[in-house]
Amino acid sequence: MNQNLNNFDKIGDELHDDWLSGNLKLTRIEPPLDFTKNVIERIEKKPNLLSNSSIFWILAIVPFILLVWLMLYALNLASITYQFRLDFIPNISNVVSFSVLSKYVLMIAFGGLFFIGLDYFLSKYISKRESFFSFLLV
Amino acid sequence: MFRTEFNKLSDEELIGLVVKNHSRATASLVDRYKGMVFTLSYRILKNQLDAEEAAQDTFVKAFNALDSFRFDCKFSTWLYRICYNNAISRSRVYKPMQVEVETKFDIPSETTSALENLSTNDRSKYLGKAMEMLEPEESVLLTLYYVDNNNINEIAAIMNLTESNIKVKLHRGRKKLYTQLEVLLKEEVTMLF
Repeated sequence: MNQNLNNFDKIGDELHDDWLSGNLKLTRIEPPLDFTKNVIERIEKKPNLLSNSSIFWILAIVPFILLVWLMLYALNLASITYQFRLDFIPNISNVVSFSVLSKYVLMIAFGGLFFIGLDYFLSKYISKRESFFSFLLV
Repeated sequence: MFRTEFNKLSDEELIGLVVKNHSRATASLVDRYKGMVFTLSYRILKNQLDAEEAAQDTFVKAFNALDSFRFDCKFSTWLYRICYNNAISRSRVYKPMQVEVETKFDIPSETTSALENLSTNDRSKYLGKAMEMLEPEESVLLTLYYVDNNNINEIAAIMNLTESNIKVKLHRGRKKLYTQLEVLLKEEVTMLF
C-alpha cells in the first residue's frame, strides 16, 4: 500500500512539466466569433410573441370555455355531482347545448377579433396613439 | 457598467448578476470560459461543429442550473464537469475516430528540442495533431492539467475519477503525447528529405 502511495507521489512530481505547460497552451482552441451571442440568445428567455397581444387572450379564452363545458358535461354524465353532494353545481351542460355554446364561443372570438382590428386601425391610422388593447393588457 | 469592468469582477460576483438576468454579466462569464469549454468539447468529439454545439449546450445547461450551484467548488470545476459529461454523452451517439498509439516509456528530450526550433504556429500545429491522436480522456486530462492549471483534486471532481487514477492516466497520457510528437516529427523529416 505504502509502496503504491510512494509511486503515486513520484508520478505527481514527474507531472510538473514546464515545457508542456508552456506549449500545450498553444493548442487551446477558440470558438467562432458569434459563439457568445448564440449562447446568450439560447439562454435569454424570450417572451412568447403572442403573450403580449390581445389575440392571445381570445385564443386562450375559447378553449378554456370549451374545457369548462366539457368538464361539467362529464361530471353530469357520471352523476358525480350527486354522489359527492355537489348538486349546487348548476347543470350548465344540459341547459347550454354544445351547439349553443359553440355559437357563443364563435361570437366572442369574432367579436374580439373585430374590436382588436378596429382598435389597431384606429391607433395606427386615425388617433396615432397607443392601442387601447395594448394599453389594457401590456 | 462597461464590458471591461465586468471582466474585472470575480466569478461569484458575475454569477450573482447572471442570476438576476444581467445579460452583459452572462456574456462576460461565457467569454471567460468559452475557450476552455470549447477546447474540452473538441478534445472529446474531435469535430468542430459538434464541439461548438456541445459547448453551447454546456453553457445553456449550466446557466439553467445556476441556482443549484452552491459554491462548494470553483465555478470552473462545476462548469467543466457539466462540459465533460455533456461531451461524453454526445460522443456515445457519434463515436469519434480513435488512433492506436504505441507508448514508449522514456520521454525523448530530442523531441522537445526539435519542437523548440519550430515557429509557434508549427509547434501549435504538431501539438494539436498529437493531442488529437490521444484518447479523448487523456487529451482532456492533459488540457485540464497543463492548459488550465487545474490541480489533481479538481480534475478528479470534473472527471469523477480517483486522484491516483488521474495521476496514472496523466503520466501515461503525457508519455503517449511525446511518443506521438516524435512520430509526427520523424514523418515530417522523412517528407522533407
